[in-house]
Amino acid sequence: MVKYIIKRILYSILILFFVSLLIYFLVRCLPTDYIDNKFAAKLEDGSITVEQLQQFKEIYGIADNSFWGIISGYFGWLGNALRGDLGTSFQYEQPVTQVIGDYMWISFWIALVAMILQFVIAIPLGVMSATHQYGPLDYTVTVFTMIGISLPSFFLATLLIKVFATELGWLPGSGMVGSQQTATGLARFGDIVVHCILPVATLVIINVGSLMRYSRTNTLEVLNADYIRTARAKGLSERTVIYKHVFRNTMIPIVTMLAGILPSLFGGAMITEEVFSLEGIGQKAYNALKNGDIPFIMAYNMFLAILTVIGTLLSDLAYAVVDPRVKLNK
Amino acid sequence: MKDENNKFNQDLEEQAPRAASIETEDAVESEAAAELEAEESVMRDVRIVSPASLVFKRFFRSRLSVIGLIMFIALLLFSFVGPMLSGWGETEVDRSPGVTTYTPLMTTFVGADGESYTVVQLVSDTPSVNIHAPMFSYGIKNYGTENEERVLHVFGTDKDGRDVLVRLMCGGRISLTVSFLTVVLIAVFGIIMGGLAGYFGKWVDMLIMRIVDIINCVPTLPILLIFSAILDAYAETYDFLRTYRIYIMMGFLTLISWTGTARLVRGQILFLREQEYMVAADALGMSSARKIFRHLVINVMPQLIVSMTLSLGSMILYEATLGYLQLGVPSPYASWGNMIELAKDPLVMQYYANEWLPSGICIILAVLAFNFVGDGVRDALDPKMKR
Repeated sequence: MVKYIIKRILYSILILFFVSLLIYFLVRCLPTDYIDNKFAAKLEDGSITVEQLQQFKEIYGIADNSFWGIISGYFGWLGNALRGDLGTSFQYEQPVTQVIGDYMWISFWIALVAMILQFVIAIPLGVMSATHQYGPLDYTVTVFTMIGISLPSFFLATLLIKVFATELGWLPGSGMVGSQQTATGLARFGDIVVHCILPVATLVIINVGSLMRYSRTNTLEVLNADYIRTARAKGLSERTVIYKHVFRNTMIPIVTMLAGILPSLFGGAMITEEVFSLEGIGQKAYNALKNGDIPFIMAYNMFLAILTVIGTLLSDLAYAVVDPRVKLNK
Repeated sequence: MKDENNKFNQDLEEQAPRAASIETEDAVESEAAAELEAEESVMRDVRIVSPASLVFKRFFRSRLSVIGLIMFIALLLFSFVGPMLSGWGETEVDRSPGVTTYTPLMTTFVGADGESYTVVQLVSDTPSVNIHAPMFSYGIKNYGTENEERVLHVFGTDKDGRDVLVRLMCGGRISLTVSFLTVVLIAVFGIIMGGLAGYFGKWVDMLIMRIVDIINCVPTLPILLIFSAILDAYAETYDFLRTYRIYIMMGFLTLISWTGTARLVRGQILFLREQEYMVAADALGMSSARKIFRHLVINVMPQLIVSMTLSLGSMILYEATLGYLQLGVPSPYASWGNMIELAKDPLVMQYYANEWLPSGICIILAVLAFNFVGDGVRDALDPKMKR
């Protein structure tokens, strides 16, 4: 087990190395970069010269755009990153780790609440629609979850804003706090919560479908297992069979979903945050990507990649723990 | 010895049908014969049903998959035949003066007599082209020329005076074409990579699966945004990059989404490689290419078709997302995504739902159709599913 974990961790580091190399190359492929954009106007009116611009680029470490220049730039970045210095964001003019740390939590709480709601809604519905397979309940739930899966997040978000914010006026449609709010403490917290209702609803509606389908398929598989027949043959009531024997076993494959959960918890929902103009990590990353903010893009993508790697590792380990038939000795 | 045995077997086989026919002739009236006949007719019926027609039968038995298929055909007709029947062109602007709007402007002042007066002024505004026309209103085609023509705007017009319905159709054309192309590309790429990895094993498998692992760790949307920024930068010098942008973007998307298909194909081939018929193929001395494409890939096809149908839906969503982020079809042309993008303008969102709501519904219908059909195909292909 320990040997397996060590092997996997070493292997993950190798993967992360290649991922970072790939992303760095792509980002550096951009012919116009942040500095060019920022000083374009000043260059026009002659307040700075091309030489000064080149000096700026050297300070930022993006002057040399030849192949070897990019390679050395990459190893410069890597060396600093390994020492814990991910650089300073061009755009936000703060250390990247600080920017991520500042804006991550709002995304995290929204994602966490959405995820809890998803599980609470999806798993019982999935089990119910599997036990009533091909009944009216099953069809209704299937069609509704299918519609949820088919909704593009930006469309659903726009629709929710239109209905609940502009038409009914029940909930605020964008931003984190009300425009004239200067409240502090509990009132401010309440205001933020109210602003987060629609984003959370968007995330839940979009993601609940796939989870429900997953739990329905799992339940159907468990229902056909031999031990369920045994349980019924023992004369257990249908309630006991379903809630004690089926339900617990349907939970096993769900741990494999850990792999996807980690990045989506911490990584933020880029489009949803953008539509609702929430100050989360996703929106910050979207702006950074649009403006060619290399340190931030690198840090954000590596953050996501690390979370994915950790998530995959955790889900493999968790699977071995909950299902004793799985052996980890590859 | 062996020859004799064979001959004996042949004799037996020849005798058997003869014996059967004698039996039936002899006892025509007996019940046993009738039963036999019935059984034979059942056998004949069963023989007629090929696996393919069984799959069809099972597919059409499911209500949802038929609904999905109908929705899909309707969308195809809508977006490929529709534009020919519509009176408007995709980028054609209705140049007739638009609906005049009156905005009341109220001013209150206190007169010389000490009373306060309210003056209501109506500010009229007539747009020079027919923008934001309401649903089912008539516009004038070729306005200002000799052959003016009144043509209906079913869903009204957008902020530039272009007919919404025909843009919806053309957007669908792009969406469907692009997603089909991408899915086919992904499948081909996935089959080749997965097939190579699964069939050759060893270092080929090692290398390809490591590439898969690396790509799986790369976040999709950020990478697409970087790709599109690179495209933007070069589009100034190479114009075709702008025109075919959506195709290039979906090509990039292929480069990061083939991994799922490759994994599926590899897994199946690892399993199928150990089957007896592959040993037979080895013994026959078949070439590797023939073994992979004639025997292995064909047997992966059922799972592949299912995953392709289901991923058609997600490709539509990706295309729409790219359109919404204005990374897809360039501006005068329509796509479902960039029609919803119009709703970023709060005014459009609040008052002109007819301009963005239909394209959202189209996206939902398309994705739903593919999901229903995909589910139906999966259930139909799965021999374990017996209802």
